[in-house]
Amino acid sequence: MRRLPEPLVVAFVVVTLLGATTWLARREASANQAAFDEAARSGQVPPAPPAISGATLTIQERL
Amino acid sequence: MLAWIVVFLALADATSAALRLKYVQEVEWPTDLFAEANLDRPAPLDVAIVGSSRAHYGLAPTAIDACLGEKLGRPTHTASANRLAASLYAADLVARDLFSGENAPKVLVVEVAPESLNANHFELDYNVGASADIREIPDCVAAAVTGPPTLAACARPITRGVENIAFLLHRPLTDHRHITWMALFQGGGQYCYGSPDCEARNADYDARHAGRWQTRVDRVLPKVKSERFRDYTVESGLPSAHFVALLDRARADGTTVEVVNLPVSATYNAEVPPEAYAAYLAWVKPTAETHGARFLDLNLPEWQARALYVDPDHLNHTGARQLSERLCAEVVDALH
Repeated sequence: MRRLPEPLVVAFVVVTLLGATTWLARREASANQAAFDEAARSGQVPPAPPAISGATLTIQERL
Repeated sequence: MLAWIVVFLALADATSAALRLKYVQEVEWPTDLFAEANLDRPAPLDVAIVGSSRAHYGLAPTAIDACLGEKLGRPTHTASANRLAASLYAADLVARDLFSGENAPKVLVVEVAPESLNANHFELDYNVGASADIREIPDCVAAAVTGPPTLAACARPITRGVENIAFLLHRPLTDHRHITWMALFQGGGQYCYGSPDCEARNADYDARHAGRWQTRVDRVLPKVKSERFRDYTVESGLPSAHFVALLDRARADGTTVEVVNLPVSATYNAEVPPEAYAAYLAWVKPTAETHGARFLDLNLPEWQARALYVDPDHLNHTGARQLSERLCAEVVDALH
């Protein structure tokens, strides 16, 4: 008879995954907010990163 | 095992909602809605724009703000949040999530098009999958009984939390910085104005996409009638129901709504079945006005010249500037 995963192992995996997600999301949101606030304060917009080629051909067909 | 799966899906969904991950999308274009969704603005937006890629190209927040600022004698703030192939179903949910309640703007610009109100919208499954929450499932299932979307699309919100987490974890591997920059510093929208750098980027973009007109003439126009106007029905279905819901919510928020029938080129207009277009106009204008919104029809001959377009139904930077200034003239009275 197959045993289900140990609840502790499952909980560890889930918590790690959701924790990493939370950290990444908050890091990005905080960085965006800081950049936005600085631009509003200084009146200066940072230089734009290089643009990628834009929508792929497949996506262009779905516009 | 099933219990674990349910618990995991529920936790993922709750985490996704708490972190506002809903709009981390698998398509890093046209707008970084994740950046917009998580942004704390110091004051309510003057103008918010929702719609599809047509609004993304045709309405430039920096041009609108430059125009409004000059007319009002104060700085204004416009943001644009658009989704790939959005019907009014998706536009309503974006407006609800980003631009309602305490985040309600003074003016909400809603892009409409005959395709976007078709009950049998050609990308309704995608719209549902990308924008719906679990609370949308009952209505979705009811609609799926007789037509689009499919039941599979209706079920997607159940797994959306896990999907969003996967998209977020993939994000460091994608080069989305310029999309994020556009959301943060030019209010979303494809084109920006007001600096030499912006003008150079606009010109560069249009130059790099010079072939797109012909590509869409070859690959998209032949199927406009069959794909986008298949079983054309307005007045019923999810898109029109959500259009009305959007109008009513905005009115309850005290927001002035400007419903805009954006222009497309004469080449594209030739593919739109006249009877479908007539049915659309006969419904959308009185419906907008009945629900307290203003209606602006810009799909007029003066906006349909080839020179204004990067492809048959998306404006280029020249067309976007002109259209944005036209919109500015239309909404400025609501901002005094």
